[in-house]
Amino acid sequence: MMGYLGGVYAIWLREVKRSLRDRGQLIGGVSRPLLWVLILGIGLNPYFRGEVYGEVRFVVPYTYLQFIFPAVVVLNILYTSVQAAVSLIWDREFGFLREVMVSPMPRNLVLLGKILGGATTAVIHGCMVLVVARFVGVPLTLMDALAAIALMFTLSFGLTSFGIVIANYVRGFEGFGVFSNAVILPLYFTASSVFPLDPALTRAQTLAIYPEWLVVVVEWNPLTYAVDAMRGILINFNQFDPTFDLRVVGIMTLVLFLVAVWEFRRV
Amino acid sequence: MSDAAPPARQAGRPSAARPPLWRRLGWLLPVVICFALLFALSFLPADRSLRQIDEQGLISVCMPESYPPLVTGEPERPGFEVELVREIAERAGWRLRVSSNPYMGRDFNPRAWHINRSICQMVAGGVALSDTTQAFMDTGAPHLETGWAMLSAGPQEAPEEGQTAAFYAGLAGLDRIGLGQYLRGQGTTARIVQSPAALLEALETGEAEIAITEALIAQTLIAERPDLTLTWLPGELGRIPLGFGFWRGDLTLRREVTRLLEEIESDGTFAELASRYSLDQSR
Repeated sequence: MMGYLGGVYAIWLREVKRSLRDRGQLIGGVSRPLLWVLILGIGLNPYFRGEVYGEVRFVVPYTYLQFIFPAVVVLNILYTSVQAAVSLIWDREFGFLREVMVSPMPRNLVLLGKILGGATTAVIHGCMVLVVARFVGVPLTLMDALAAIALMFTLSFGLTSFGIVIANYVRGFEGFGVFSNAVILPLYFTASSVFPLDPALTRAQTLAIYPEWLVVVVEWNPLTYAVDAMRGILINFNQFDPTFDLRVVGIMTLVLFLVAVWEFRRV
Repeated sequence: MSDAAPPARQAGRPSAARPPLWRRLGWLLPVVICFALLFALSFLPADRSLRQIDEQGLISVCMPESYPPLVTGEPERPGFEVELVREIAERAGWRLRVSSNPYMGRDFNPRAWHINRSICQMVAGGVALSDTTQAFMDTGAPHLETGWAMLSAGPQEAPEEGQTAAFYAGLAGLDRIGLGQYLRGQGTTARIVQSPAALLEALETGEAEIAITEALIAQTLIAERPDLTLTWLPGELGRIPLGFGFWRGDLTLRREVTRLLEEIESDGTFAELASRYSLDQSR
């Protein structure tokens, strides 16, 4: 048993070291908060306040910077988790995976080590965004930070599993990059990450503001609930029932992990 | 496995051959640099609100016309909040322009105050830090507290059945309906009076056994009549924290005012001002 745990630890450490040594990933991890928070957030902030020189546009209990901040945490996690699975293609390409697969380690534990490694790196990238909380004006207590890290870990565990599933279907690095971007960006933009569905409105009122297809896509996107749960923790604002958010994130993680376990049998 | 050798092989290595810890953890250095870079960037100014006031050397503050003891309208004793804001402006090197607003103090909802960014950059004089306020504007940390309070001749936990309560609402936008329901539930009769002085008079003449008014007014009255006992009415009527209001997104201004307020509190100036207006500083 201890030998197996040692094996999981070795795979986890290798994944973490490999990801954190990858300068491209690190630059991405830093540039996303810079672009999304410092540039987009500041740029749109003046258009997103309760009043603009006397005219009350709409009333929300946060600034645009604060609104977008939890979504950028999720974006960093999303990218890093899915990209972490690229190591599977590397390992397959260079024969390392074959060496691991002929070891006495059960396949599921190899997979677990990989997912835990990817999830750990994703949490570190999520924490990079939390570092700019002061700039955004989000008062971050220790309990908030711990709750955010717990949510980040659950989410990144599921998303790394998702990345493994994608990597299993893609043969080359280029294909993986294109495919992951084609999945990540639509998922992110339809997760109510850059615009709010006002919780004060009824569903009929929301449908009067946004086209029905968009509302349906947002409501059916599981990442919407992850972003919402993160907002609940960081800026104390929820568009949906917080317990429902956590249930969706938990179920999504479990299902993606089970799918990854199933898919990993084919590796 | 290139980066992490299996534990069995590691255990077999002679310990002298192991590189020092800083070298073994060297792979973490880029991550530490990334965190440090982002942390440094978080100190960049997020907006121009403070810069604009610094450039003009003038801050406009919206305040109610009268909301004793926070704003009195008297030149000698202009009110606690007026003096507090004046102190903040003085320390920041700004001139202060007070924009008096007749709607403030009557209603806790700032949307009914008819104020906007072109009139003032900050709001003071009894801004309740409630969800309603925070849905419209940003607020600093609370520095005072208000709510309904009771004055009685001796220690008394709550209004009692059969008692008559002299009641003065003042300009406070506190929940009068909730208070009325509470007093009816207690079996207490309310008798409305027109001034804080009339509250004391009603107690002296025996027309009322207790007096109920806003806590800030009650605190100034108890300074005149230290023989009376002040009791906050229970939780369901609420204690409302008061602070300063800022326009949403004016982070740099809010941070600077909060910093100056902390400085004023720590050097004792806040306590001195509060005692001048007989205000309770516990919050």
